[in-house]
Amino acid sequence: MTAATPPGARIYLLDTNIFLTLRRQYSRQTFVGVWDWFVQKNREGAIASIDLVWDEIKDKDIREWLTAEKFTFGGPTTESETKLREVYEWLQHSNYDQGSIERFNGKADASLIAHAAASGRIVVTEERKTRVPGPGEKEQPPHITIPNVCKALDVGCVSCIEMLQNENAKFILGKDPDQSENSS
Amino acid sequence: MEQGRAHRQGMAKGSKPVPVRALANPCMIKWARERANLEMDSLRGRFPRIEEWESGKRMPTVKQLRMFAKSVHVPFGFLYYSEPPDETTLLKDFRTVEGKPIRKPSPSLIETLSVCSIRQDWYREHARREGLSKVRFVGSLSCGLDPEVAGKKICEAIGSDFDSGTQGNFSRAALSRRIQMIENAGILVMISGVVGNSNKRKLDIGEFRGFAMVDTYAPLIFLNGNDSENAQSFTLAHEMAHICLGVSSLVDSNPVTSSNLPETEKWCNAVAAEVLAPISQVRRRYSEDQSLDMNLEKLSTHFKVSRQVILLRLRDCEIIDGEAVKQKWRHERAQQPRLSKSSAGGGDYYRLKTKRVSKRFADALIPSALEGTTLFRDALHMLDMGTMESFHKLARARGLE
Repeated sequence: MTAATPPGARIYLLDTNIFLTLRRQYSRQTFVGVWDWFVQKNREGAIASIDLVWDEIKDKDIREWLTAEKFTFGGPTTESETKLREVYEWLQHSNYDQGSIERFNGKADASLIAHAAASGRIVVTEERKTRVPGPGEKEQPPHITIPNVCKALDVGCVSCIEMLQNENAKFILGKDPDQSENSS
Repeated sequence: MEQGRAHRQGMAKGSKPVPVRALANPCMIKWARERANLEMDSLRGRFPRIEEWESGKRMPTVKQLRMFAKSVHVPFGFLYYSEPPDETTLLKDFRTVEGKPIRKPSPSLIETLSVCSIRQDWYREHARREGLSKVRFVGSLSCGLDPEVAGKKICEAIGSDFDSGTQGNFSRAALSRRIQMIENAGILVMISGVVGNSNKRKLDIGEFRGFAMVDTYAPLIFLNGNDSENAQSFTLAHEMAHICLGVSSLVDSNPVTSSNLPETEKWCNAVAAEVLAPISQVRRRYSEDQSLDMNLEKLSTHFKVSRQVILLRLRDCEIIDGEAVKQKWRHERAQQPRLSKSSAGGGDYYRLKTKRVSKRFADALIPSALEGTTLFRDALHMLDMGTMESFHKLARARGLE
């Protein structure tokens, strides 16, 4: 596994969908190493999330795992509040479609970005940048997404796989520890 | 790093240092309260310091602010804005029955429009991804076309059986079938009597009976489930006519009984009447031997529409003259509309849920979430659901898992 995170290393703030992706796409039974990686990184303090994300996670199994592993879901701080106001004020005067701004306003997304901005951390989300209308398609104000907002506010934003790659995570096939007990 | 500070771990609410004050805007707190039509008194119980918040003397903690946002049903972020947002952009394409733009919409209406808009957006993307064709009806007709002809065209395209409630005597069954036929034609139909899942926040039929959101890939009709079934049928047909015209609409009053109708609305009414109770059929079933009242009752029951609609049909057939219609009309108008009791009817939660979000929508969204194309968080939000457990139950109820 990787060595302890050196000081000044990247710290990641995870969006709700990362946990859901983990559960659904990377079944723990099969992708054992991936889940271990998350546990390890959590212990090093390299990954965390925020309280509003915790509220959005509905899956019971995930919640149990997160509680057992003592994942951190930070609450608001004075610094994050200051940044939060900046995020919302920026949003208000941006060019995004009003409907999608309203939805954005109801979720954890803005707070996640604010926390990242306040502490120099990197947002991790499976959301992708908005699709740009193709040729001949009606120009509409684009839908707002986390990557778009992060880019505008100069906050780091990566997808799950990008985070793994940035951290040089490698999952190499080895012996199944459960099986080797039986074959002897 | 803030690693050691007051970080909540899982659900353990440990001891806290001084709670963080929200940097909200006092004016927006006031705006939010007024938008929900609430007096300070009603909120003082839960938020004793609300007066100070609104005057700016003191700021709520973040936790308090979140609770406040929930109480007044306002998106949390608005409370940080420097001035009230323009919430009417969602409404700008709509015309009401009297041809005007929507006036002061209630938070319930705004939320309903908002969630339907989200579902529509998703479905449009889905349709494009899957290479589904555009829905032919949208914008396919014009007011210049004779309503009788237009009505026939719609019936042909949807299924000629639309007019007959002849199978069974129940308005509810007729409405269900009509909805099914319209959904089969590619239109999303959503019916609900409440906001989201909240049984307390009922949608006011005095404010709106339904609306239609035009779109070439994902046309959508919403019906207020608190209306009587016959009224819902009419709203459905009326909005269908709007979709064929390509004009979004919100039915705020009874379109049949309203005066001062612009041409578009008159046309949509006439088309709706033709679709639900075709003139040829009305003529055939009318009995000279029976009184007007008996005819009204009989025909209204057969076609599963209100007596007023039948009255108009009889006038259109020239069976009764304008003067007789006027007299009878005043009498009919004074009658109370029979409110539907069906919305309370026990019944399966998942069947109700499907009706609320549209069968077509649910059947497209669920597989998309299961295969990973759509995030579960977003799917749950669009379904107004809170847990993966209920999602899976819905999926099984729809036969998709």
